[in-house]
Amino acid sequence: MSIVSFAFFAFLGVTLLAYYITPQKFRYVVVLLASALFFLISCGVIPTLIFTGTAVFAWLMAIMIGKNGNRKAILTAAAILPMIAVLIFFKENSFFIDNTRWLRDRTGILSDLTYPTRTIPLGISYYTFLLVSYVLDVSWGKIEPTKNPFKIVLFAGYFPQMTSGPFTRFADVKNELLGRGKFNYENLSFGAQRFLWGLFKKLVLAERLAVIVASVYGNTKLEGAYIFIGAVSYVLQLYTDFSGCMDIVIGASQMFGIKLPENFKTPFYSTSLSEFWRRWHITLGVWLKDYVLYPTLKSRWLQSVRAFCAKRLGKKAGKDIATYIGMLITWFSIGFWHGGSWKYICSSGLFFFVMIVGGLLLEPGFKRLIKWLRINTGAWSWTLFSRMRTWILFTLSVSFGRAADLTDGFRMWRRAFKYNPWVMVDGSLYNLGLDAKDFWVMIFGLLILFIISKMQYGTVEGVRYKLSQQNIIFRWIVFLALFAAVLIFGMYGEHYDPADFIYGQF
Amino acid sequence: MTKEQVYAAVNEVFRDVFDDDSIEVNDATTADDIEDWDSLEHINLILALEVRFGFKFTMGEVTGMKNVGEAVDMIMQRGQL
Amino acid sequence: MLNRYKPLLRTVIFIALATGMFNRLTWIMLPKWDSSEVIEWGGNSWFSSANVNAIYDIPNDTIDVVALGPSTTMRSFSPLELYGNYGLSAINLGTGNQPPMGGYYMLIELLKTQTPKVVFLEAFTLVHPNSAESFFRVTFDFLRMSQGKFEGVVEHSKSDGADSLISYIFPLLKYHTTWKSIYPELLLKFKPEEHSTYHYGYHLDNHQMQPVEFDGWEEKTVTGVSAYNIDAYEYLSKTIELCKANNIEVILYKSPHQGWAERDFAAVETFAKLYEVPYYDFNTAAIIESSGVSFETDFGDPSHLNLIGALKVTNYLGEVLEKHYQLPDRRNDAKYEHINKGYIRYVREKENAGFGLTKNMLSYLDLIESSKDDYTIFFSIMDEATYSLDIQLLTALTQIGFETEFTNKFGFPFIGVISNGEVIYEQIGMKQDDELSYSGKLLDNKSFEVKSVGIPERYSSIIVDDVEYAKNVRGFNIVVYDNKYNHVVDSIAFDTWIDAGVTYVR
Repeated sequence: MSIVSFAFFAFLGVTLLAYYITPQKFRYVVVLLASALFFLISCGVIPTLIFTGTAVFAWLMAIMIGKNGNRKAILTAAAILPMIAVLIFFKENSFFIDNTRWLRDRTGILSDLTYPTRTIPLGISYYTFLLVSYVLDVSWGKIEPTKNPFKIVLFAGYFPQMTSGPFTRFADVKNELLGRGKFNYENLSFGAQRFLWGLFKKLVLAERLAVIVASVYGNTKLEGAYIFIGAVSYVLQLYTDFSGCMDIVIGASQMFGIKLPENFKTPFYSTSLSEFWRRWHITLGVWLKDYVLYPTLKSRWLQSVRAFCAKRLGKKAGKDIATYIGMLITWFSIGFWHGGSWKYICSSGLFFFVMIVGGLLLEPGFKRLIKWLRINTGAWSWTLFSRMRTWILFTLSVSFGRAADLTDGFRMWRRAFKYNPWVMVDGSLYNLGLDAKDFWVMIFGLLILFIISKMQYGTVEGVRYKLSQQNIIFRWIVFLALFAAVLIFGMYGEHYDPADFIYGQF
Repeated sequence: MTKEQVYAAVNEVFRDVFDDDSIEVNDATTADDIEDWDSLEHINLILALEVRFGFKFTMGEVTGMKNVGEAVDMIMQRGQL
Repeated sequence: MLNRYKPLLRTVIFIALATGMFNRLTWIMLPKWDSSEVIEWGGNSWFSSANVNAIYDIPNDTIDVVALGPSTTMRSFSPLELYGNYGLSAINLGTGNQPPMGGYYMLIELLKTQTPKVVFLEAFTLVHPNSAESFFRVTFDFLRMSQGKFEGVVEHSKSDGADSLISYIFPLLKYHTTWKSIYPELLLKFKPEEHSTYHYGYHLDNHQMQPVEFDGWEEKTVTGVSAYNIDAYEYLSKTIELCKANNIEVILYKSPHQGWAERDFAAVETFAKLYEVPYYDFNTAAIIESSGVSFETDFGDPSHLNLIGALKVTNYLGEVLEKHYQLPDRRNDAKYEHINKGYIRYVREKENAGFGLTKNMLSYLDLIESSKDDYTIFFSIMDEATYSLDIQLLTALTQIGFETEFTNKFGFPFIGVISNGEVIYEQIGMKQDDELSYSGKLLDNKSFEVKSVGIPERYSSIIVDDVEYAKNVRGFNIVVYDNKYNHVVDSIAFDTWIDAGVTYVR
């Protein structure tokens, strides 16, 4: 079920009603049943059973880990590895199939391996990580294993999260998710506002950007300025699509009184790539930090590598090399999670690794350069420069993710070296799939987005809070205008098919 | 070791990891107080404390640690002083 | 105490406002004018939508006679003619390719506010329906949501799927993209009676088809009995039963049609006998004779009558009503003033139509002479228009007021403007390659500009209110503007180089 479909609105409305009618003690059951229904409608019986089986398996293993302290390591591995294997089987199989093709063809072993075609359980990339985090948290003593399997099933299968996340921790959500859902008017109201805002981002902005992106990426004759337009549109599409999805999901969840963590914090204000990844797809970064990076850095084998290097090349080198190895593994994982093909591994992972580590290595050099050029790093102009630099690097990197593969991506960028800036003003932009009216609606919408983001960046409590301080007539005008904008300018209905949320494919 | 001595040792570790001899930690010090204390340095700090005091923090403690005071408490309980 | 319910109250009011806005937007976005670029309807789009809307606009309890059916109804039944000649209050609810199911539900809706005595059903769709989706939409989209409409769309969607049902209940899904062609008038209340071409549902056609050997002539003699369309049969029966239950008399009729055959007549006659309703088929010899219908002059296109034919059919049916049904004469009744207003305008439009029905220049000039009042008529010569002017035409040109000598002016440009019977400007070129131009304002302050440019550039331009109307082909290009109702009535070009005003382009 697409979360921008009429069916979902109806589903949400009915569930909300059922939720608040039910006595507080049983409200979480409503959510559980709704999630089950959501699963069944979205992917059918077998994948739903696969999911439930996985969740129950995790619950069981967690209890066993809790009881058998001395066999913790084995049990944890036995719990986690199968779940990850299933995930890779469904989602990242291309990595193994494609990269071993040469070998398989040569030796004739498994030479007719093809991509599995079964229906993939909804949200497998998300719930697998949630369950792994639960098991690890129990294993590390952070939380006690839960006795009630329904709680784990609900935690991992909570329907708003199933299309694109965010990643949650059991400890963080269990009170609200499994608690007694008290009715709070502000939650309902703010949640609905956020939901509407997400619809605006997705239906009015992301869908239009998608048209431009598809036109540029799909036409190998376009060159020069078009490539830049395509790349910029793609990064904006990613942002409006994904953060819009998050707004819809977090807003919907808020209407139930269940708080989900943020995935975006005005990422384009970041002044460095490191900071960027603390503001973009936040929950993925945090998950990988806690469950991949730290355990890797703390692991014994990496410690020995560190000691080995420290002996040969000095203490600092030892520390740094160990750190970089840990980061490499983490960034590889980020890229790999996006897709098993090298284009994702590079464009969503390794490229950033190279940039960040490169930045770290060259840091002393840069510091000297800045001093020598007498650049004032406190000046706003420097901040602006840093932001632009960060944004440009990110745009460049993800633009490869949209191409068919890395080679195609490079080919596309080679075409960018043609000089034709006039296409920006001579009306050619209206030939990329959006007519002039649609195009300007998009530009104007992006402007509104920019203004709201600036406001968001400037406040602590958030735009909705500030809005709630204004007079009721003003507030209502804003909401009604936003609603009207989505109704009129949204690309939905019989003529369009909202492109599947980009992060729903992960 | 007394608590003050533990603090002194911890301070040494901090100064070493961050390469800054002016650092003075107390039980309320958090990552916000020291400029270079980001998620990467956090783990390096943990590792250095483990080496210095001869015990291992659990992963849960690594990510759950809120300030230096908590670390010191754990060191006092399990560390080889 | 009130404080506790304040949030609830606010929410309820807000939802009410939002729903109101939603409904308003839906209504605004529904295509009302001739918006064939926006929605692909089978022609007659403006007229069809006006007719459905009229159900809500006509004052309650004023309609005595109703006509339902497809475009053949729209072009054959003139309610205002019945008013003028018999004092009847009638309305034409025909819509393009109206499926009887649509007509049925329109009637149900009408019966909520009206108590007609007689309903005419045009029989074309019983055997020759067109089931394209757009024709259903025309009848349903403008009806307000009601039990009847709901029933109807559910019934219809059984063959079409749930998506279609949703878009009937929320037409915005299909029509929200019309924002691109919106203009201020659309936001005002839709009053068809204020539109100059609304004649209580009758679509006035001022074209006269050239009588040709139509292939359909062969079909006309095919004997046998045509097969019924099942859906049409079902709903025509239902309509008849509905009328009988409400003490409404039903009359079945078939307008003259170049492709209506013997077997079609037989099929409908059987149906009419079965349901005991009178049936008047204007394709049968007897009725053709007594109504005076002519297949040479009465058609605008092979399926539809023009004004001349419609008047004959309407007056014949009016006689039938007078002879067999006691219907009150509504003239001089203050309650029916709205029809009277429409009638005055209708009379004028019939006069205007006279121009469109005239096909040779001599008659045209005679018409101009006899009805010069309240018209502004523009003349502009393109290329050459004097070679074949005979003595009759020259006299006629003088009689309408022109003093210009047209003899020995081969290829000279000419401009003439007659306003309310007076020649307010005339100018013939001094030489062949002269460029003449004249601009001014009409009586309602709209601007006009007339140009005539001679050999070798040769063109003619007659621009009224920024729109070009001249045919710009060789000969006298004439545009007629109605000063009473402020719109262009006709544009024609008589090629008086090649002959004496027999060859024309319209």
